[in-house]
Amino acid sequence: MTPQGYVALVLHAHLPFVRHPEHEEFLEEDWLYEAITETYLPLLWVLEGWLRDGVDYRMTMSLTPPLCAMLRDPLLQERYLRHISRLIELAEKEVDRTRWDTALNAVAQFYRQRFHDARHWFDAVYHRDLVGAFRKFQETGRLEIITCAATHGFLPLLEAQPNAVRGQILTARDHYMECFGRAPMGIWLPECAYTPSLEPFLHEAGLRWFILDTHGLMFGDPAPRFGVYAPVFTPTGLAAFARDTDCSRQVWSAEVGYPGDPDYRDFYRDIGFDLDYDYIRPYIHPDGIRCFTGIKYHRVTGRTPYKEVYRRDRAIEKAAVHAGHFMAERCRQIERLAKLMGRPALVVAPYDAELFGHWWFEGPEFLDFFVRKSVYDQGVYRLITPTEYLRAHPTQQLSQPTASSWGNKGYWEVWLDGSNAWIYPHLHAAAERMAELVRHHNRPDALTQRALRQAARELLLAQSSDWAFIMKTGTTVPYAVKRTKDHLGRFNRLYEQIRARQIDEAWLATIEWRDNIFPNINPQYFG
Amino acid sequence: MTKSQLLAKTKAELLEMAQRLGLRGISTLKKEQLAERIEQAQTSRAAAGKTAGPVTNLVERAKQMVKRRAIRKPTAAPASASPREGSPGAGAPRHEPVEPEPAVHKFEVAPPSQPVAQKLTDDDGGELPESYGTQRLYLTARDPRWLYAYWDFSGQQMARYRQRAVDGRVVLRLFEKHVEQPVQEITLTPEARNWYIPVPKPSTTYHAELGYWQGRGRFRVITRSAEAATPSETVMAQAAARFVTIPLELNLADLYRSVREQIRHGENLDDALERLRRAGAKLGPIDADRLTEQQQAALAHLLYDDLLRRIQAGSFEISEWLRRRLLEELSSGVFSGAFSPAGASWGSGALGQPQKGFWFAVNVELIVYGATEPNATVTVDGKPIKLRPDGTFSFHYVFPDGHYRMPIVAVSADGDDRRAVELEFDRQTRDIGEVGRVKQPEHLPQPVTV
Repeated sequence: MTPQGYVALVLHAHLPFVRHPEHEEFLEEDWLYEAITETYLPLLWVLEGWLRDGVDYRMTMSLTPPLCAMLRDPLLQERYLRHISRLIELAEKEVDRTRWDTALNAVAQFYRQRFHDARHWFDAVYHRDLVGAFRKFQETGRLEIITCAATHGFLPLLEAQPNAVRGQILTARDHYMECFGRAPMGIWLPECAYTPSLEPFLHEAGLRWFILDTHGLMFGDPAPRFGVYAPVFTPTGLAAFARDTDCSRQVWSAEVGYPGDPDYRDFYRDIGFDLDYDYIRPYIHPDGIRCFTGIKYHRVTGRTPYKEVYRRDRAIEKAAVHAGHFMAERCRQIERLAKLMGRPALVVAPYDAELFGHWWFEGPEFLDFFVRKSVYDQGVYRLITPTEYLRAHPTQQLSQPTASSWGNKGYWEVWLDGSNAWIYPHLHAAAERMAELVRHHNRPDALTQRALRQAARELLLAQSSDWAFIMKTGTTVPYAVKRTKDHLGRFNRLYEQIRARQIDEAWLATIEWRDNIFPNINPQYFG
Repeated sequence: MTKSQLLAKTKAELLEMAQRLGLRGISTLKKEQLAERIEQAQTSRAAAGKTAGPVTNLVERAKQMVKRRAIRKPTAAPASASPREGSPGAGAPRHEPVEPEPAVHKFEVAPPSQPVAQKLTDDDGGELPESYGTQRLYLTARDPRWLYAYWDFSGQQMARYRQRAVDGRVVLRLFEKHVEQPVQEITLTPEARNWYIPVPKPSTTYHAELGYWQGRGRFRVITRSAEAATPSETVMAQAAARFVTIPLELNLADLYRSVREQIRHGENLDDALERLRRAGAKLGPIDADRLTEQQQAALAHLLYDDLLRRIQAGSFEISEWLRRRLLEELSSGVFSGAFSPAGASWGSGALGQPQKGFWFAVNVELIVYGATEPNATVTVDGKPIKLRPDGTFSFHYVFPDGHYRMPIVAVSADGDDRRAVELEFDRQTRDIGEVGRVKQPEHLPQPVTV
């Protein structure tokens, strides 16, 4: 039966490159470890289930280059095992500690099982290679993996030096090919930040489509006839898809969003803060700073500081109810649209992947239910990936989307305001210096080539949009400031050394060891 | 916070504050020195415009938005900017509310109320240069109504130009494309390094110049920026839609490369495709997906249906209303995918804000600890436990009201010796007044390690 429309689920998985071999333990590396336990492995379990049961699903994921680089890094893999083993030890103690409280004890046992599963799958099943695990699903033809910019640079604010954008995109494309053995068709523009001048570089990388926020397409010229329910072709022939607001609102809105349901697990109540200090001491930060452990016993309960104990079975039932509601809403939406459009409507639902599992603990189960229900319980729409959609529907309206992002207020403000604007003169100057170095060293000797490559790495790492975002949102500001300054500082020092033809090889080796992202980077892209 | 307020705190509290501020080398400081460092750091932070508190209340946020919208209407008054910190222009609220962003939770290692002090690594590159002296002027459109400019001049370079100026001032001039006279002229304060410029027009191309007035009304340009176009903030007119077919199998990158040079300004790839098609290639625009008038109207109705329920309006009003709605949603965070931090924890705010009035929470745990030969086997309630290498053990138990039994048995490695204890516990609780149960104190004492 021909469907009346399509739903394209897109998950954007990204973390900035945080790897500190110079420290035995480093707090911000926990971002990765938590995301592995709470998001990436649970998503893989969902994918495994679909594969096992022969579910004809479609889903799209961007796995950004820094995330892939970290997931493939032996040091971080080793450290993840240390992290999860410690959690298992804590969960064992928790099962014991809570023996006289049945409700808590059930949750403790749940975590113990889950952490054991995580270690088993990570180590014994996937042999520590989660990138390889995702790749396997892409090869089944049902999961489409797309690329992103090399270090998630906010491209419109880098284009003062066009080759900075070129370096971000082509390095990402190369890295994608190393990870996934083929060329990417689509790109997740970091923060959905788009401006028309990015397009030549997307062409050069062989990319065909990208995703915008709703207004990027809606405010395009001319206005898109089908709203956001069909992509447009830009004047250079790339396809631009846009996010559907209803899908975002139902999942993330504070008033009507699913994750605020009283039955779902509460994000903030964590035994890292709740328990007696001496007891929890070995499982928090080595300096004795309390932090999240990942063991959280309570559910959202209501708009109250009083929290009831989490009931896993009830939370899972609620995820199924919400998935059913989400499916019914999509059916209603698509039926209405199809009648009016005279062609199948496409609803694009992009989300940050880490919000599933890490923030919304039951998010992966919600996805599982939603996809299975979509495949088996309705006939209105079909799940699709953007590439597959373009193959089936190569005729689209021509329109020039407007510059936009998915950040607050829709443009650049989150990444360009009083807290973070100071970084741009430095980022622009460094990109210009990088271009100068490449131009002046077209036949570098081995040592100079190493220095050029490292300079490109430091430049890319400094450009990560996460630093500006953190400076603005104020979560771990000193770290973001320091990372920006460190990479720019290292870059500037390399620049001076390369120019003076006095490369300090011992120091170069040290920063190669520290900032080891993109071993095969091509400095020519930046010239 | 003033120094005297700071000194009223304990040293441990000050150390924690200093850590949160990212100060280092503080472990050896005396209390007074510590207070000074914190005061300095707070002052410089405040100057950097970081004192804004989060506005989570939607109504408040909506009000702010309305205010901001009103203020954002550009006025004739030139923007004022302070150096380097990049404060917004005149009229823009200095303390913009920090909106929750979707990805923010990725970077949390603790609840918002409990910022984790960080231990940072050794410095590498040291401080960054004040400027690079490239004499470049950078201009970008931050959004449809604001441009942002910075210029990269050393203090010396700037001083030289100021000397040459007839009035001792360097001037930033803003031009709209195809308009000869500058649309704004901003006299820069000597310490200014950047400027936020309110502009009246979305979808408009601007460029800027930095220069100074010489004698006899002559303007000398030092440097020009590249063009920057403000994005659109409204739904454009429904011009005749043009549809093109671009098969996925087509090598678009090659095609684009081959026609890129021939594309005239303002022309699109489709026209180039058309040329290729005329030359015999099998591509190009086709007529498809033509909508009837009726279908168009119905679709518009659906896209803007909430609106139409409220206003029976012409297309101008429709697009205006839609624009406002989009902006409202953007600001509320709903639209941008940003969601309230209350999403998965309605009560999370309560963790952060001190409770009103007096409060009391008591938790009871039972700790059992002991020691034996390191190679002995110890069971608690029949279940073996793990001894530390030195033979000691320590266990915590949640201890709710009730009656409990706990046998603990130790058996020597050779199995010959056996010792046991039978523990019995009763707990009964009577609350007098409201007493919390599961919750730990708001701000648990943290040892300060530096």
